[in-house]
Amino acid sequence: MNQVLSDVLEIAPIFAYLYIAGLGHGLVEKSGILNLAVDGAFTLGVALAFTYCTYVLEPTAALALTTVTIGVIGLVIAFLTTKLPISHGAVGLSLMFISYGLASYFGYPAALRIKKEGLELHTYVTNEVTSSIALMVSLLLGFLIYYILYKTKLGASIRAVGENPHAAATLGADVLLIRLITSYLGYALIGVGSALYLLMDVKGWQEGSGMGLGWIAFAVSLAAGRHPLVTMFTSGVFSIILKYRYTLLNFLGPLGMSVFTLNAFQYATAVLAMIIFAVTPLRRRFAPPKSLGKIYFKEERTV
Amino acid sequence: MSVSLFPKETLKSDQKPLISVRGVWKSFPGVVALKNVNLDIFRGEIHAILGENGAGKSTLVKILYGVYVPDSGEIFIEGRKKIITSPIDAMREGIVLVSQVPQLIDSLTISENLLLSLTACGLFNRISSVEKMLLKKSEEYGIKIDPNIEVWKLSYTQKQLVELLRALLVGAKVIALDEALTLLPYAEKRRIYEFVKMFKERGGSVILITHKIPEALEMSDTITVLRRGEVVGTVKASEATLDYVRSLMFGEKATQISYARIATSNVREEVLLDVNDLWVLNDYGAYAVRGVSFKLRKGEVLGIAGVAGNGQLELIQALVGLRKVVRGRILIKQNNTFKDITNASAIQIRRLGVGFIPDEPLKRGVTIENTIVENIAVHPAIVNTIIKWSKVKRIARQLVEEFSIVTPSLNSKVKVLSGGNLMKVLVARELFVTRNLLVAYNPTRALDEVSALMVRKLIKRKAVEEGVAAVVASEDLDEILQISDTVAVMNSGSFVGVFRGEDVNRTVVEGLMVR
Amino acid sequence: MRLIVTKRVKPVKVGRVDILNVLIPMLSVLIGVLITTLIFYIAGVSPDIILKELFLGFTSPQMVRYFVLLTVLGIALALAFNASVWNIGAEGQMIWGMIAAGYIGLFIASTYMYVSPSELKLYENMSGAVIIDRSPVKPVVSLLNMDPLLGQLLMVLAGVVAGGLWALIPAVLKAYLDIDEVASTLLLNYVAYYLYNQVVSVNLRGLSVQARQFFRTDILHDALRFQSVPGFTVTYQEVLIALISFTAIFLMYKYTSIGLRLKVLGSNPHLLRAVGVDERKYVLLALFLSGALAGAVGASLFAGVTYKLEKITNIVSPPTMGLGYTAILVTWLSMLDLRIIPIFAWIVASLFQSGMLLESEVKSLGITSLTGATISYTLIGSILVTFTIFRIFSEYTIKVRR
Repeated sequence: MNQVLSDVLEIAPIFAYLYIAGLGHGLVEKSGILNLAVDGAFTLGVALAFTYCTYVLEPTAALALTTVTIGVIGLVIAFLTTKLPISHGAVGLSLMFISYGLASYFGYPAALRIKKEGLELHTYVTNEVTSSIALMVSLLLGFLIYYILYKTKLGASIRAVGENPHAAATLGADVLLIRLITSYLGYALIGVGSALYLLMDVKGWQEGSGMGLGWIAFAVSLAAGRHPLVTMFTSGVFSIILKYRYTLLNFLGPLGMSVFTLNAFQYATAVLAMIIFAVTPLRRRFAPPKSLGKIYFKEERTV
Repeated sequence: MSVSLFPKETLKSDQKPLISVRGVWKSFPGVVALKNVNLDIFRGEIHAILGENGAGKSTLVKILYGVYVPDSGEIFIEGRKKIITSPIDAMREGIVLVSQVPQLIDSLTISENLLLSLTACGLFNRISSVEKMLLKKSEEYGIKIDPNIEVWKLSYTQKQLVELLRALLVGAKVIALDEALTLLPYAEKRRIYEFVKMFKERGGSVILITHKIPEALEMSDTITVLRRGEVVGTVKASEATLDYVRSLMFGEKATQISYARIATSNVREEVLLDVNDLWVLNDYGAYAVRGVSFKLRKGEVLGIAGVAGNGQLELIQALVGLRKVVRGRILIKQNNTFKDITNASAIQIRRLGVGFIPDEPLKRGVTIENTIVENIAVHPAIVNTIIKWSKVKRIARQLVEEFSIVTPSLNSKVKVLSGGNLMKVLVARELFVTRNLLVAYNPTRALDEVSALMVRKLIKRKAVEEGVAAVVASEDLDEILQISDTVAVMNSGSFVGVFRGEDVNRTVVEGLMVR
Repeated sequence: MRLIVTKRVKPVKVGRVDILNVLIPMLSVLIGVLITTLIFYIAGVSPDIILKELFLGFTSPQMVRYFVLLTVLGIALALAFNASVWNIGAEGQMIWGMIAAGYIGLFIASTYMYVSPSELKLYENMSGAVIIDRSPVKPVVSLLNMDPLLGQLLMVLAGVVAGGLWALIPAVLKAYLDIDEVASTLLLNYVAYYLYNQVVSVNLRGLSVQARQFFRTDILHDALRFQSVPGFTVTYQEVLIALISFTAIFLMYKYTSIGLRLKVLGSNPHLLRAVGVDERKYVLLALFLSGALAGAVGASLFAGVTYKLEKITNIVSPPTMGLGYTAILVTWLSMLDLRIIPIFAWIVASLFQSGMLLESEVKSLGITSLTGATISYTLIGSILVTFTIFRIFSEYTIKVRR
């Protein structure tokens, strides 16, 4: 029993950042915004958490600041994709590139400063206590998001706006407001995830830190059909792969798996999940919101 | 030519209008939808807005409901100028729109849908907290609902009732019904009429959008007629006659418009199409076509009458290979032998000289981002792998002349054309490629009545002179009666009556349609 | 105050030219450059250094190579984008092009073998033999197996096929399962990066000491390498690939029903189906052709400059240099018009080159905080976001109501 518990706590930091980022991503997409900036936001979040940490020297403050800042990306995306008849893909990709650029822009000077002044980075100590807290907080966030999505008017509005923003607007939902709120919340969660990755897992930064993990969060959420509680399960699986990849290779190595193919497999999983949801009866329950990524423009012409 | 400048003094001088629309203009690419429109809606009246397809009726109410924003012009509510840019604004002013297509979120429950309209409820209100309120309000008006059922499980009529319930819940002063009753079965339409009258008696106003003159005359107190985006007259329903309203609706062309049968006929003995016990599913996995059989001879026009949604669309799509046939057979005669085209691909079927005028012309008929010439060249029957543009241009020029299509040039993108001209491009191309069989769904939608008549005559001519057989499904019964050699009435997926064109009885057909 | 967006009734034209289609991309580039300049200015790089390097980028001989490669990639993406198939996966398709060309070049067109140190002299003067590794213990020699021209042709063809096949994966998913290709092509880039690592460090790993040390293949036989045009880094073969693909695709669009249908697929796929054309096959075709051209570029990256395949150590700098993403800029700024692609390929290639010049300039100034990734990503991102927003003005107007 103790062994299981310590194993759980061992993967808890990874689970926490993946799950929280996945929750955030799923929330954004529930409102119908195709979220291709997720990896950019995650990468920038890691760099910002690092920078904040270097300057304020206090992990919790860095966590809070990262959360608030990354949320702003969500506001930009929600505003552009809802107010203007604009491609979600183009907006997401542009912001992804800018975020990659800004990540190095902010992260590098901070890294230099640490080296020059011989500073010590004040991250969280990862032990059983902090891991338990991270685990509890992430699970609580999951239940909270579930409650909001399925039990409140805000949740009904988010789902409505994602399924059919035109009908939702006709019914009286303020599509822009709903998407701004959802997207801010979602991105703030991606920010929390990226900050936790830095503060509890890697505790250091080099160019490219976190790059690609946003896509893993994307995969985690997609594989769970963007459902906040199912995402718990997929996050668990992915965090085991991330944590124990070398141990896993002891079993998988003889089957021809290498660390490279295992890495490739993680991204392929997202594609596999899309296939499974497209061809199996799971489609009905886990289908993407009907208007995901569709341009929201009300003046359509008909004959 | 305006028949009467809005004579509001004579109409309701004793009362101030609840809603006043003044000088509203609205353009879309290729069409001016509303030209300087003025309209007054009074408290406690049912005000019908009547007009042909494309006259601007829907645009007008969508402006009132904040779905569209006018290019210029003003809206006054109880004498005060208001700017309405969203349905939230409109609902705040007590205006609610119910459309022909229910604007509900399918995956949400009834109470979740209605909750979205309750602006008084905060975003963190629990969904369950409003259920009681919904039940109370629905019982008040005698509507039975289960608030926890998801909308996709409801029938069309139930969805429209939910929409009406929504209007009551938000305390609407004006309910705009945008062809909301058109598709309802007769008995259920009656039920909703009662409901509308109850609303009126309690002081509410109703804007009734329709293209059916009898419906307007029967239901409304006041009728405003729109023609090509202009208000051509407002009359009291009690003082109006069908002929007068018709002359308003169609203008000087009213005399050219005829619903008389196009009598010429040249049906041959030879059977071209043999459809036997056809079963086809709809998008939701239920049988939309249930055992339809018919034989179509060369030169014969088969008209399929029916209320929309009774399987006509699925039948038509199955005939041209766009929908899977579950059971049954479709045979077509080719070089004196019957060829089985059941579940053949659209490619194979179209190669046999089959023309197709689809539902949703913008989706399946034309591509508006391409030019007229390209819209013609896209048809595999017209071009080979290497396109001879000179040949395509010649065909295009010929069709533009024959159908009097108004366009800046042959290389203009189709999106700059008006809805009617756009439809003509489609019909012209399809009639051009038709060698054997024409399959059409609402072939004259969006056309003005004069052009519609022209298209019907052309279809008929194709049948009479070239021996082409045609299957025409239409929601417009007049159209069916006008061109068919044989009339079939489709109801709940089956042919419930088949008549010879010359001795069909309109009342009988209508009865079968709504049975 | 409210913003109201309405569809433009008529395009804004000067003469026969839709003027906004010209102004918008140009303005986007300018504003993107300004934003980037501003960001660097804040970081302490003076604008005149940036502007100087920008100017140099436009005339640098190294730029020509990126111009040629970006033209091909621009056409590749235009093929897909015109069909409304949003291929973000050129990176992965290039990677497979590299792998396939690498396999042909290293294992089919030539052979590697260990020789005994004493035999080394023998090979020194042998025609068709090149000494790859002069290690005193286990020297490695590469032997040519075929005519070098044939070998080069095979490398490019292999790249074309491999890139096309890799692109067929998202194509099949889109055509038959309705799976969004933006997400799938993007994710498949990462799959390709990691599979590339697997392939070069296991399956195709070389014999030489360096290859054993650094997880990479051996180096390509001299005779099989593309020849650069004197004074430039661009090779004859790359220029040829660009000319052929431009001409072929241009003619296809202009004179064949395949081209017309690929265009109509972009504006209205349902129409194709209704007139009896299987639109799914055209989705496959669009992505296959797109991936094939990207694969050809991948092959030239291998045979034209790197001559070897080496494990990606940091995902920020893949061997494709992010050209697959940069090309999105080229295609979008050209408004998907084939004839305009070379113009924006030149502009973007120059900016790309400027970014690299800027990086070394900035390093020599001691401002080590700015890396190549910062510069190029910021530049791409800011031009792209400006363009994405501005582009709506070509079809819509925005009014403000109070």
